[in-house]
Amino acid sequence: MVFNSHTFVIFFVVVLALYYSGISWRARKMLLIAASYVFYAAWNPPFVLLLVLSTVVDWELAQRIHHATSLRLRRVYLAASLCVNLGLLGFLKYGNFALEGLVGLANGVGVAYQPAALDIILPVGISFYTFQTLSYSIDVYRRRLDPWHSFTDYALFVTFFPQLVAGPIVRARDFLPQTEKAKAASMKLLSWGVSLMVLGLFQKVVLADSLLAPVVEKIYDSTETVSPLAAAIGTLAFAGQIFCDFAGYSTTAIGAAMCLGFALPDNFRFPYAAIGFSDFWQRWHISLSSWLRDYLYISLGGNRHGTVKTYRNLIVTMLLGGLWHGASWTFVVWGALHGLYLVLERLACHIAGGWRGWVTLPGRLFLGLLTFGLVCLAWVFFRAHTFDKAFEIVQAALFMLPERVIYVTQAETMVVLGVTGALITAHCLLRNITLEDAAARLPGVARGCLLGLMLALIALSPGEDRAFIYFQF
Amino acid sequence: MPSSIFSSDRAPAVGAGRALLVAALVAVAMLAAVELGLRLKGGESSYPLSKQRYAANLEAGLSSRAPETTLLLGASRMRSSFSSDVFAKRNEGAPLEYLATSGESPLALIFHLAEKTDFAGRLIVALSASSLAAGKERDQQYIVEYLDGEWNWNQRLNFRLGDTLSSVTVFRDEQFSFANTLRSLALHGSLPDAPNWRRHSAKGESFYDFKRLRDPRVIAPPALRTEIATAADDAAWDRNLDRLQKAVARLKARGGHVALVRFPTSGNWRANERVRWPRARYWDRIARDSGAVTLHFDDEEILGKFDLPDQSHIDQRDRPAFTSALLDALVARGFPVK
Repeated sequence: MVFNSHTFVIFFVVVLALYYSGISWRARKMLLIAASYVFYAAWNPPFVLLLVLSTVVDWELAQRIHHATSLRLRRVYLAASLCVNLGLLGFLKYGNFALEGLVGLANGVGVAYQPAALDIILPVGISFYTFQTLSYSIDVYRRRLDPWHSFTDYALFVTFFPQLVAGPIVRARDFLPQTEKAKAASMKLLSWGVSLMVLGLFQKVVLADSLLAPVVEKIYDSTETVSPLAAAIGTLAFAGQIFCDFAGYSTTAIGAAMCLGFALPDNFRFPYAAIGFSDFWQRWHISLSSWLRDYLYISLGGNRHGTVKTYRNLIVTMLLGGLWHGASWTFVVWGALHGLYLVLERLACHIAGGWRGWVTLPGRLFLGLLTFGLVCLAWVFFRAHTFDKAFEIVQAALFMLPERVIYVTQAETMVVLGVTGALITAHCLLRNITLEDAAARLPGVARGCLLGLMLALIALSPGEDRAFIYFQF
Repeated sequence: MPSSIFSSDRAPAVGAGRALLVAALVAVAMLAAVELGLRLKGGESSYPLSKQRYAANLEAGLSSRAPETTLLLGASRMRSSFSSDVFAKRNEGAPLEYLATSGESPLALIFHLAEKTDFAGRLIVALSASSLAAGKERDQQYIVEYLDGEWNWNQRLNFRLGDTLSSVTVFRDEQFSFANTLRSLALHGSLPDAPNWRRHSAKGESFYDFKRLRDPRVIAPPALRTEIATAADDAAWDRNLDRLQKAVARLKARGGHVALVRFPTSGNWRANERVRWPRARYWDRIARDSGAVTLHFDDEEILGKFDLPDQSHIDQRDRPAFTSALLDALVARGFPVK
C-alpha cells in the first residue's frame, strides 16, 4: 500500500480510530502489527511470510547470541543471522544480476553458458527491514543492546507500517524503548504529525509526480538523443524528483508514526544546501548513511588504519551503498562516484583546507554549487537505465552530440527551474535550522493556510498512482 | 544541525489545533471554489485513463463467458469514434469493454488474448500498417503485466474509490490539474479553459469536443513529410503479421471473431501514411493474410466523409453516426454484430 493512495487514507483513519478507541496498550501494539501485515500484504500477500521469517530468525538468533557461553558460539550465531538476512536479500535482489555477471564472465572466456533466467520478484522494502533486523542482531552481538524481552514489541519494531517499506531505517535501541509505555499523541504531536504527512504527500504527489516526473521520463526514457538543454533540465528535474519522492516518503512516514505517538528519526536535512560530500551524507538518507557508517565503514576499520585504508574503506562503503540501491552497474557507478567524491574531498581538505577563502560567502557558494553539480552528475547514473543512456545525457549536456531529437518546451523548462529553484532556495534558507523552528516562527493560522493550500493542491493533482522510487530498493 | 534527531521532540506547540482547523477549512474552501467555478463554466466530470482501468476492463472481458462479449482494441481513435450507446441499442446490451488505450499498437493485447487466455468473444481492433512495425508488439504489454503482477484487492479498492471521487467532481479531471494549470499559465498566460474539451467515461470511452479546444498545437495539422519514405524493417513487420495470423486463427478456432479496422485519417496525416506505409505493400497483405474480417476506411465511402478536425479523430458529435456506419460495414462483411 502506498501513502499516496485512496486506500491508505481509509486504512490510516481506521487504524487511528481503533488505536485511540480505549483498548489496552498490548492490544494497541497487536493492532499495529496486524495493520502492518495488512499494509504489506496489499502489495503481495505471500511475501508476508518473508516478514515473519525475518522477524522470527533474528529474534531467536539474537537471544542465542546473548546467551552464548563462548565468543566462537556468538560468532556462529551472528554469522547465521548474516547468512539468512543477506542470503535472502542477495538471492531475491541480486540473483538475476549475479547470474548475468556469471554468464558474461563465462562467455568472455569462451564458455557458451546460457541458463534460464531466474523469475524472481523483488519483495518491496526488503532492503529496509533486512537492515533493521541486521542492526538488532549486530548490536546484541556487540553488547550495545540486550535482547528485547517482548517478542510482540520486537515484531512491531520490524513491521511498523509507517517505515516498513522505505524507511527511515530505525535502530532497535531507538524504537524498542518506545514500546514499553502506552503511547498517545498529544494535540501538539497529532497536529505536527498530520502537518508532516501533508507536507510529505505534497512533495510526492504535486512536486515529484505531477511537475517533475513527466519531464524526467521524457528525457531519460526516450530512445532518441536529447538536446543540451534537455539533458540539463532533465537531470535537474530528476534531482528535484528523487528528493521530493524520497524525502516525501520519509516525511509522511515520520508524520504517520507521530500521529500514533511514535518517534522516527529524521532522514533528510536539506541536502541540496550541503557544502561538500561529508556534509551531503549527513543530510541525505541519514538513516542509511549512518547505518553504513556504523555497521560497514567502522567494521572495515573506518579511519583507524591510516590514510590509504581510510580511502579504501570509504570507496568500499559507498560502492556497497550504491549496490544496496539496486542490482545494476549504474547504481554501483553512482556509489563509486560518491566514494570518489568523499576521497577527493578529504584530499582537498588536506591540501587546501586551511585557506580562509572557503569560509567566505563566495567560497561557500562555490563549494555548495560544486557539490550540487557533482551530485547531479552522479544522479545521471542513478536514473539512467543503461550506461549508454547515461553517457548520452552527459555528452548531450556538454554539447558533444550533433543529432538532437528530444527538446524541452518552454513550459517544461520554466516548471523545472521554478520547482528546483524554490527547493534549493528553501534548503539554503533552512540549512542551519529545522523545519520545526521555521514552522514555530509562523502563527498557527498562517501554518494552517499553508497546509490547506498544500492539501488542495494534492487533491488537484490527479494522475496515475506512481509508487515511491525507493520502494524498488 | 538540530539538537535532536527526532522531529517529535521539536514539534511546534503553539497553535497546533488551530493550524489543523484552518488547514481543513482552507482546503475545503479552495476545492469548493474550483469545483463551483468549473461547473459554472460547464465543466463535466471525467474519469482518468489508467492501467488500472484497462486492467479492470480486461478482467471483465475475460470473466464474461457470453460469446457476444465484444472487446474494443486500439487507441484514441477507437475510444473517440466508437459509441457504446449505439452499440448497446443495436446489440441489446451485449457486454462491451474498452481496451483501446494509449499507444500505437494493440498487438500485445491481441497476442495475450489469443495465446494466454480462452477468450472466445469478439474483437474489434483499430489497426494500421504501422501497428505491426518492429517493437510495436510490446506497446500495450504493460496492461497485461499489470494485470498479472499488481492487480490485487488493494488496487481494485483504490481504483473504485478513485472512480467514485471522479464521478462526483470536475476538478479531478487532469485538464484542470495543478500541473496543467501551470503549463497553461506558462504557455498562454491564462488558466485552462472550461468546459473540458476531452472527457472519458467510466468505461474509458473518450469524447473529444474539438470546438471547445483552444490550444492550436493540438489540432494543428501535421506537416507533409517527404523524408519519411525510409525502408521499414520488413522482416520484423512480417514476423508480426505471421504472429497476428496465428493469433486470429487461434481465436477463430475456439469460436471467436476478429475485425481489423483502419480508422479514417485525412490531409497530411493520410498523405504521410500513403508514403510511409503504401497500402498495396502493407494493409492489403493484412487483409489478405491475417484471416480476420478487415475494413479500410477507403473502402467504405461513408466512413471517409466524416470531418476530422485534427486529421485523425472525429468530433464527438459525429460518433453515433460513425458507429452506425462502422457496424453496418462490419455486418456487411459477415462480422457477427448488429
